[in-house]
Amino acid sequence: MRTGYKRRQRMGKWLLSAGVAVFIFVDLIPIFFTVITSFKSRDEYVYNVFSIPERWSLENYANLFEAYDVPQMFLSSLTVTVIPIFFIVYFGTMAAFAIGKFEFKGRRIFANMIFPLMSIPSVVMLFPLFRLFSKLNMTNKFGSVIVIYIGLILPFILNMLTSFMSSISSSYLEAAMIDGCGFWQMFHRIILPLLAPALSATTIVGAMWLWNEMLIAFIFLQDEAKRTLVVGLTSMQGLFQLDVPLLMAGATITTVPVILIFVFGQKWFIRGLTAGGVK
Amino acid sequence: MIRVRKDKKRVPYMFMSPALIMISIVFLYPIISVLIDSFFQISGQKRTYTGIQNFRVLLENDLFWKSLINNMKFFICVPILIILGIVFAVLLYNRIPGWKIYRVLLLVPYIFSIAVTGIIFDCILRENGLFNILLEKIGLGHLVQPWLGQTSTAVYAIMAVIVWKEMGFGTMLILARLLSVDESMVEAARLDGAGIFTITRKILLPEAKPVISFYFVLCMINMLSWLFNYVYVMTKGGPVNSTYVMDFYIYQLGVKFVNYGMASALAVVLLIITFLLVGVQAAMQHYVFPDEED
Repeated sequence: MRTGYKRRQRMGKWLLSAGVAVFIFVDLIPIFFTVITSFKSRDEYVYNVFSIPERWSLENYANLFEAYDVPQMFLSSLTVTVIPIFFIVYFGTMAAFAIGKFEFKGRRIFANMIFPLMSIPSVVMLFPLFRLFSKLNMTNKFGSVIVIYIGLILPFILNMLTSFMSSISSSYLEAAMIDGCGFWQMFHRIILPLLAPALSATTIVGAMWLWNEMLIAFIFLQDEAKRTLVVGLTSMQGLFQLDVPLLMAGATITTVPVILIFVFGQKWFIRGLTAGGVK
Repeated sequence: MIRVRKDKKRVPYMFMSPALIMISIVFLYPIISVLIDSFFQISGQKRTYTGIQNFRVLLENDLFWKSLINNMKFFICVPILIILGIVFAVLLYNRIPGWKIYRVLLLVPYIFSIAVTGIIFDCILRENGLFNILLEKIGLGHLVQPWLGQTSTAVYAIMAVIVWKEMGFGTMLILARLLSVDESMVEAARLDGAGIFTITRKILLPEAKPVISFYFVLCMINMLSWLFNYVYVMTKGGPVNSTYVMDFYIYQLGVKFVNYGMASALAVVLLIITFLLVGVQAAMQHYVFPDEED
């Protein structure tokens, strides 16, 4: 009786698993389509939208590198991802340390402001920021995007980091303090090393967000020599509306770095993503 | 919390200051200037104080109401995302064979840039695109249509793309909470003969309630004010303005109509609606889940 039930349950799980597998396959078709189409010649795509290319061609990638300075766009994307993420994580951890481990006037206000700030879309701040940076003669410079990115995702990062911070025991820190450890030293010698896994998670999630950002990069880096990959791709969409294989090659190139980070850091990525919601 | 001596009271502020400075530049300053600008008519360098004129014009504007109603339409995505999230989280929680791989695969659409996603689906949903060809192949040829190119379907096509992209995140969030539910409680219920459905209804869902309510508000906010990228890349507000949403309209008012006063007024309206939502969420946290307070 009992074993019969167990076997039935195991069968049921396999059936459910098969169902989920089919769903995921269908769910990922747009991604298969993107990669496969990027290797089809334009002529072939006209009569063969659906299946695997008869002849795998690199023509689209060649055209793409000819029409656009892809390495330069890659470097732009990298610049506005790597530099801000370093400051974001550092400043964010400092602030999370203060909010999570100290009692001070205004602490509750700061802590309660994190979520409302996260919910404000960047388009609200766009025009005042543009005027401000125009006055400072900083539009079309990486500096403007870097500064904006740091501020823009700090609330998001703080939301993750404060929940990680609560995992560090306060009495441990107090013991260190009694041993004569200063706060600055405590931050660098204890907090940062203890939070290392959390910081990797935060870095990966934040970097992905920055790499994928469009609006700010589009408005503040209009100079063709400074465009990021995502922005370059949207301009490509306007110019080569009908050349689907070329667009798919662009989409693939833009996404490969993100996929790589995801494949190697998925454990941290999932932990970072879920940290803000599960306290 | 660490107890600090009286003369060290400045320490936490010192640690807060870099973040506060950056947030002031990127949020505080622009929001204050948007609040002020919303009462001015701005053309070039010339600014004229016009009181609540911008708001009045906005409320009489059909495009504003169309945008607002479209945002409301996008709320349809919220229950769909939540139900899909719960279903997949519970399935994966029950450790169906391969669940660890499924967990990663379900998240793949989420890591794509919205701009990239939009371009891919723009190609797929065209009249001669992949989706219509698949429809023909399975004998639904009569359904073939330009999904993003006609007023009757464009909004719903964008919604489908959003659900496609965002679904994995909800699953992940809810699953993470379920995985931290006390295993022995579930085991005890199982020994008492409770099936998957009973366990889900009586134990898992109540345990996941706070995170589901968090996800609910997050989705609502996304549908209210984070649609710009989808609309910009897939339809540019068209066809015939049928996919205008509020944050896209703010952008159009500023960039296309160069009317910063009106753009600011709409930004203020959007901020008010968003904060009302956040307030409701905070109140819910406080009154519905008082034990969740830290």
